Amino acid sequence: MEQKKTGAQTRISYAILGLLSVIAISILVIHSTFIPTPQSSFFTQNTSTQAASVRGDHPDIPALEKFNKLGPQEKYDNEGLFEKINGKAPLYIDNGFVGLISQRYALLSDSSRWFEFYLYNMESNKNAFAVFSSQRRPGSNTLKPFKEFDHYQTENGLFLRLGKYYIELIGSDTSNEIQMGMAALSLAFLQKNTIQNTPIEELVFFPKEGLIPTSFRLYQQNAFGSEVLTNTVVAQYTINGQPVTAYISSQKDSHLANQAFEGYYRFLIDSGGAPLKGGAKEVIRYVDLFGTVESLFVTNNFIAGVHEADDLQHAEKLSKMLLKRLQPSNPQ
Amino acid sequence: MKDNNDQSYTRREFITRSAKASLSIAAVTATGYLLHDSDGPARQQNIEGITHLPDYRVSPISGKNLSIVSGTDRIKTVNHGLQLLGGIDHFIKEGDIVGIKPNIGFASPSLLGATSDPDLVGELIRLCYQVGKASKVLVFDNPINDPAACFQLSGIEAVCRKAGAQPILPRDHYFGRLTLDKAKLIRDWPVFLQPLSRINKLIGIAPVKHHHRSGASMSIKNWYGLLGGRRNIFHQDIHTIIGELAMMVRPTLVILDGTRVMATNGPTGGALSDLRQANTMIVGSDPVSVDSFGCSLLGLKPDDLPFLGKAERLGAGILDFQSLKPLYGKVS
Repeated sequence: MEQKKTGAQTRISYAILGLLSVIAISILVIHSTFIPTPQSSFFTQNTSTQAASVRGDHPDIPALEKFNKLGPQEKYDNEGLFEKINGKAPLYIDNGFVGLISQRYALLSDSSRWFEFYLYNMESNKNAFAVFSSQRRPGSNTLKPFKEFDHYQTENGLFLRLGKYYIELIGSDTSNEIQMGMAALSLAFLQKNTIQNTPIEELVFFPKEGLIPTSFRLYQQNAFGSEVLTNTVVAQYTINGQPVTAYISSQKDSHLANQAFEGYYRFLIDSGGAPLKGGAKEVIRYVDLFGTVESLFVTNNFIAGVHEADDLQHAEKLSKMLLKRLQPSNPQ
Repeated sequence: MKDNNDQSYTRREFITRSAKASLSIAAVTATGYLLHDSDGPARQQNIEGITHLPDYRVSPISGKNLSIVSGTDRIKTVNHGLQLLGGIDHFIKEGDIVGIKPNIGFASPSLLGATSDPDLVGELIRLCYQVGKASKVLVFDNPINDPAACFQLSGIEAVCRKAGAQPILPRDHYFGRLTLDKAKLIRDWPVFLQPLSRINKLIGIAPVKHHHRSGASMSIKNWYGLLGGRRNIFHQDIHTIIGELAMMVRPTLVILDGTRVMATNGPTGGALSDLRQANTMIVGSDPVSVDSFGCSLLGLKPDDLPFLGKAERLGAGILDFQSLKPLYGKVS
């Protein structure tokens, strides 16, 4: 009986020693591959703890069939935007940025494949168009469900301007599943939220002939390096096979437009430009600036013209087309 | 003393012994719990309030300062680039503790080119261990986005685990304050000192990217990931801070990956069309000369990037990379 007891004690002792050894080895292994922030923290973080408030905006970010929300929803305001997009933040902040909400969605069937939804509240249609247009990628596709909205699709992304919102969806790969998920989420967002989508009025004044339709860019400040050119839409043309840039800057009223017109002309001359043709006497003024031609005119509350044309002939042709479109009697 | 096997115990003795054993286990457990450091190793006391970082440079072999290799395969081009400079074993010696600082700034897939290529990082870890005979390799960065997400989604954490390197994510107490001699901005500023104090060699690995604010993000801008605090304020004076970063860090090597450069919409990108094949790997120990060549891959000249001139004036390197007589190579 006693022998039996001591045998059991020996076995228990060995078991305890074995367990202690396993614990010691486990500690050594875990510490040798120690990562201070555990993997689970990113994927399981409570969405409400991280979020900074985004002023006055509560859009509905929908769930998505066949996808899981991956990680927390993130919210950034003016102060925190650098923490999300770093050096690109000034582009948004300078254009009236209010808040960003982002959320990743991973495929249910494979969580390593995902896309991220970025919803930038830019406060106004124009602000949203400014950031949309300035980042527009050339040669991209469009999608039928969004034909009423500014948008384009790239190999791994979908980019939209829905009213005051600028939306980016960026995929971790170029697969059809990810592309379809991004389009479905955008559509669901559109259906769940009221979008006040106002067209950018200046766009209709650009003549259609020779216009590259995807080339519109809106610069709200300092177009072509001149601080008087605010709220300026720029478009690219091909005239007789040559690239030419046209612009329209809209001011609050005709008085301000005249001031800006004279200011921009002085800027060109002060920058080393030489008047061409009749100079300041003409309705459309032309300036030779280091071998390229600039043109400018003012009508109503608009300043418009051509930027960096290769020769006077192309500058004249496009300038006259633009003037005709902008004259008050001309139907849009 | 009786042999245990011959000893018989009364019930009282058994209970007493069991109680003692339980108390011993409880005491050991409590001691372990009290001593447990959930934060991991604390920083060393002697890195507080310093005026410069260690100098990690190794004298290059005469005439072998900078290599520029063209080719599409990063593994081949980086190996050839290193061979042209005398091999990784000229820079990394047996027993070295090597720090690798990739750009892991964003929680985005490597596909987008916003972060260092994980395979390239993995190859450098392998070379340090297998050819350089390093005793340990640490991989660290203080990302812009959530660190855990950045390490995971960029693929860097996975290659660290596979290649046996230790990833180090930032924690508050890993930062110590640095007042850099002659600096205007890096004064009493938190810097990621914990890993820097543990290593004796430092390698930077950065992709070539357009940067909305600074014009370009390359090997010097990569050191931004060593800064802590509210570093986004430095974007107001971006060229000065990058110049000072060049002065702050004296690396053993920098590897500038221009295989696929982010030509537009940097530093985050978002579309594959933001990337362009440039098929170039640049290896050197002078980040100023490396970046001076690297900017040409973005169609820029060194004069277009004021931070390069500032870095040279601060004595951080040589702007005229041609004066170093770069060694050119090509791999198929």
